[in-house]
Order: sequence, then C-alpha cells, then structure tokens
Amino acid sequence: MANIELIEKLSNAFGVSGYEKEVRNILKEEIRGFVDRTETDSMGNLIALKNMQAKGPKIMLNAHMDEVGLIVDYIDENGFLGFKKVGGIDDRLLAGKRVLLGDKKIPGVIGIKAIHLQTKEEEENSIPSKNLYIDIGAKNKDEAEKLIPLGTPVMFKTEFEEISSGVYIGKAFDDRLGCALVAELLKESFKNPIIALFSVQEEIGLRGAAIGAYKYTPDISITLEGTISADLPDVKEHLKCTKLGQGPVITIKDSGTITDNALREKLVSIAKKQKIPYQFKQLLAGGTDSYRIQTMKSGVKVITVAVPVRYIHSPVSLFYKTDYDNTFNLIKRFVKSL
Amino acid sequence: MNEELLKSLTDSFAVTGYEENLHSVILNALKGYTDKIESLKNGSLYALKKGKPGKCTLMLDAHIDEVGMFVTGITDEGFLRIHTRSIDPKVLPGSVVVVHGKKDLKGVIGLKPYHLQSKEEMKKYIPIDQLFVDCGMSNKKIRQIVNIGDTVSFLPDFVKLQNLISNKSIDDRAGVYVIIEVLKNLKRITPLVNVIGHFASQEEVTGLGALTSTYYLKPDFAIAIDVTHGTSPGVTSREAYQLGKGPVLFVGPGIDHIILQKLVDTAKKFGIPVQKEVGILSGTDQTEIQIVGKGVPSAVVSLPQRYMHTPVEVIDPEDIKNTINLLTLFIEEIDETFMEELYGEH
Repeated sequence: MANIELIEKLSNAFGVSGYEKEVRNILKEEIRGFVDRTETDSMGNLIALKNMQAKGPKIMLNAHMDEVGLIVDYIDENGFLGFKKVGGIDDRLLAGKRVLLGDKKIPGVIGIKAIHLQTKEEEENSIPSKNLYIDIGAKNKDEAEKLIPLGTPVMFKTEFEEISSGVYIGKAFDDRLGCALVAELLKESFKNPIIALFSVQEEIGLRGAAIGAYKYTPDISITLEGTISADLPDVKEHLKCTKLGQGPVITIKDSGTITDNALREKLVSIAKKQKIPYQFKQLLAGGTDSYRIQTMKSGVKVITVAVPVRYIHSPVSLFYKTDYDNTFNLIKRFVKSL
Repeated sequence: MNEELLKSLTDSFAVTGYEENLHSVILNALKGYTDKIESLKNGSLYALKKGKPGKCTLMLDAHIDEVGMFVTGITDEGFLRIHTRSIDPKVLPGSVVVVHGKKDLKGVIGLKPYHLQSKEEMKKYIPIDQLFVDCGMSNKKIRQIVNIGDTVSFLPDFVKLQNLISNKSIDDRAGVYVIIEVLKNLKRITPLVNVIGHFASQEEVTGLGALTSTYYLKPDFAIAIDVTHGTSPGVTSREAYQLGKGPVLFVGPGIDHIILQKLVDTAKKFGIPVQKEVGILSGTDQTEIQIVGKGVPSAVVSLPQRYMHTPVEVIDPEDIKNTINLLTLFIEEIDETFMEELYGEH
C-alpha cells in the first residue's frame, strides 16, 4: 500500500521547474537496486531502465518531478523581493503565505498591507502578483542581494501531513504522487522492458519529456499524475472534473492528448474485473507529458491515469490515500497484462 | 531574547472569547516572579508584583486574544463555511487553518483550480462568504467534531527571517512577552508602585477584558503595550513605523501627557530609540482603560509590526528588547515627584 514516507519526502522536497535536483536525488535513492541502470540527461530528467533486453513492447512510466513556484526577479531599495510565477498559479493564492528560497531554503513570507490601512477599493480588489513582495527580513537591498541573487527559485513552505484518517495535505502532489507511483511500480517485477521517465519542467511547457522520450522512445507510455479536482461547494456536478474517493482518473481527452482507445478500454476492463473503482476525467482541461510522448518520432500509444487532488497548483493540496492505492493497483495490473 | 517563550505564546491558540489556552503559558513563564497571579471570569489573567511602599498601582496591559474566524455552516459535502470581520479574506486562499472543534482539526482553504478559471474570474476579489474550509471529512463525520460557532485560526509557524521573527498572532503576544519580561526584571528592583501585568481578553472585538478588569483591579495609571503598523512595500512611513527603530509612543488627545513625557524622558536618559505615532485615539485597550471608573491616566507603547492580522506578522526582536528596557527603566524612574505631578494634574 501507499508508501506514505516516500510521498512525504517527495512532497516536502524543493523542485520548482528547472530546479528539480532534490526530488531527483530522493527518487534515485529510492529506486536503487530495483532497476538496472539510471541516467540523468542534459536537462535533468531522471531515466531508469529495467529489463531492456526483454522481448515485448517497451513500456514507459512517466511522472514529472517539477512543481509550480516562484522566481525572484526584482529587489527593491528596502530589500523586499519581487517575483515571477513559474507555472500556472492563481495570484489570489499568494498573499499571506510562507515560502522557502533557493538551495539554502531561506525562509520568507509574502505579506500584504494590513486590512486597517487599505482603502475601500483596495479592500475589495484582488492583488496581482506583481504587487506582492517576499519579505526575508533583509535590512536593505545589499543584504537581500547577497542572500538571494536574482533568479533564485522559491517554493511554498507547506508541511506534508495526515489531517484525518487517510486524508493528506501538502504541496506539489502534482506530480510527486505520480513520482511516488512510478518509483513504487519499479519495485514490482514485470516481463516487459520498462523505461521510467521522471521528467523536468513539465509545468512550463512539457520541456523535459521532449528530450527524455526522444532518447528512449517506448511503444506504450503511461503518464501518472496528481490531477485537477473541483470537487468543491458551489461547483456544478458536471464541472467538477474529478471527485476524491472515486478512484483513479482515466483521461479520455485533455487539452493536449486524446489517449489511445484500445489501451484505455483494456485499462477499464481490468478495473472492472478487479473491482477497482475508476472515473473518467470530465473536463478537457490540463495537459501532460503524454502530449510530448504521443507525438514523439513516429508516435507512441499513450494513456494518462491520475490520482484526483484538490487545490493543485496552490501552496497546499489534498488527496485521499484510497485513490492513490487504487491507482497503484490498477496500473500494476495493467502493466502486468501487457 | 527568550525565543522559546515568544514561540509558545504565538503558537498557542486564543481566538477572541477563548483566551484560557494562553493562561497556562503565562502562568508557567511567571512562576516565582510575582506576588499574585489570577485568572478572571472575563477571560483575562493578571499578575501582581508588590511595590514599596506600593501606595499606587501601575497596570501594564497587553491583549492575549488573536484574530480568528467562526464556523457559520457545514455544507452537505462536509465543507465548513466561515466568517470573520478582523481578517482580510485575501490572505486565506491557499492556506492551512486550524478548526477548534471538540478537538483541533486542520483544514485547507482552497480555490477552484487554476485550470478551470477564466482570466476574468481569477482577477475577482473573493469575499469571505464564498470561501470554505476542507478538512477532508464527510458531513456526517465532521458534524461529530465541529459545531456552528466554533473558532478557526491561522496555522502557526514561528520562523526567523534573518534577525526578524514571523508567526501568527504576534499581535499582541509580543506585548504579552514584553510584560512578562518586565515583571521578571522587577525581581531585581523594588519599585515604588505596585505593578500589575494585565493579560487582556477580547481586545479584537469589544475590549471586554480591558474594560472590566480595569474596573476590578482599579489601577492608578496604566500603559497598554500593543503592536502598530510597520513599513513594507506599499505602506509608507507616513502611515507606519520602521522595524528596528524602537518602540512607538502614541501622541494625541487620547493619552495622558505626563506619562508620555516620562516615557520620552526615560528613553532620552538611557539612549533608547523611540518613534512617535500621532493620532486621536490609540484604538488599543488604552482607549477603554482611560475611561473606566473615575478614569485612569494612561499611555501606549507600541511595537512596529508588518502585515497585521495575517498568518505572517513580522516583528524585530530589537524593538521588543528596547520596549522591555524602556518599560523597566520607566518603572525604576518612578519617584514621588512623578507621582505628585501625575496626581496634581488629575
């Protein structure tokens, strides 16, 4: 069942797009001894190979290591830091948050003008991210520049935690849940050749997968994700996208991919036979590395399966362990069936 | 700086109306330092250090309550609806909060995902009544733990930002910390007057603690220690005060000028940096204290603090240290002349 310890380590790790080293090291350590070979390419993708001499279609297991975050792009005269967003983040999630900056994980906070000092107009309007600043407690611009050079990546400071039985909160479940699933799957024995692609820079345009899937192009690829759920109050039933507790999310179509019909049907029949709950992604939103992999060379058959997660692309997200376990079981049986 | 104490004061939960949690922290910190310490039925706590001859009593006041939210409803799916008047709803989305039901539960205040919002939607201000807390529980399950009216607070996280300190509810636990340290310092000095440390309830709502305790304790004069706004991006030195430049003395019609002058003189004599905040009424507990009973001459010493009423309030320990020194020396400097002047005037 779910390796919560691994998910916790991955969720707490620093891995803003382009700065995935800490996540990569955790994964490398985790899969050591379970794969024949690992390599890290020029962009930082971690690729693990298993049974490559075996016959049968080559199967890729893919998850991205990066998370959305911020990057420091400005330091004002008093040492407060301006930033750009890395990946898609709703500006309204940023005020009043705690962050960690750079390799040294220097703590900072995103403050806002106290409500007592806001004009009526300020009070009733959201704050664009360009008007927000990170406070690292620097005395002045010089000190801030020494601590935090321009271009320092910033992650949300959120502790992984079980808040109720089987309910977990933390950051970056998109896509550290996928990373944990792939790492755990690599510990199983399969008869096919397996290529695990832990990709970088998914959140800024599916960048890493473009070169990872070029070097090792599979016949079949499974992208594992922590995906969008709008299973929330005030959202109409048909707009919830996915629901927590209803099992793995199978994508038919998202913004970049129509998944392979035959593979998807096989997946569904296995779920039915094994009595594993599953759901189809309702909305066509969100894109994954599947797009890069599917369109690689002369083409790859792809499917995308995900754990439903509330509040992805935010400082704190939430998932149910049962959904993770059901996703793991479904994919394990699926790969064994190929 | 006793960081451990400031951490446990700011980590503790005491949303207005539920201040008892903080009493034990203060009791422990003051053990052996005062002549009397007592919890009051209004949610306040006070500690008394007797002076010699102790004919008069000075009350130092800081409030122990913190801003918070209240549960107003539970949706069919088990999400909690919330309300607050003291917190800017703009700081809530994307945060973890603590719901104080039959036991403490953590919950998330989230938004509809980025991918499903239009550009227009993402610019919209979200009022508090559209937000909700997600504890990951069904309606049936959460109803066993949480009731309408239960309080919700920010998640604490005591962090050092270089030399500065950030956490929730530094407003006004920093003031509480100052009073505890001043009372501890009085072990070395025997003051002329009795000193009461009053740890007040309900400042953020009605000032109930300040009003009713002042009536009960009958101090002869008082100083409230609270926080004031610190400068930060978009907050200029016209409306706020610089961190690290010392305690802020309130100046205006709402305070007693003899006490203020004594504070100014003391700061000058001992080289303690101070800043001045000019206003009409201070808007702290002092505004209530001044008009209780036959009236209480009173002043305000504030600590500059950034991002008031957010989970990430920021303060400079240097200002805390200077405030403790200023108040300790102020008490030490109280003499017959000052007392005569104070009472001759009123």
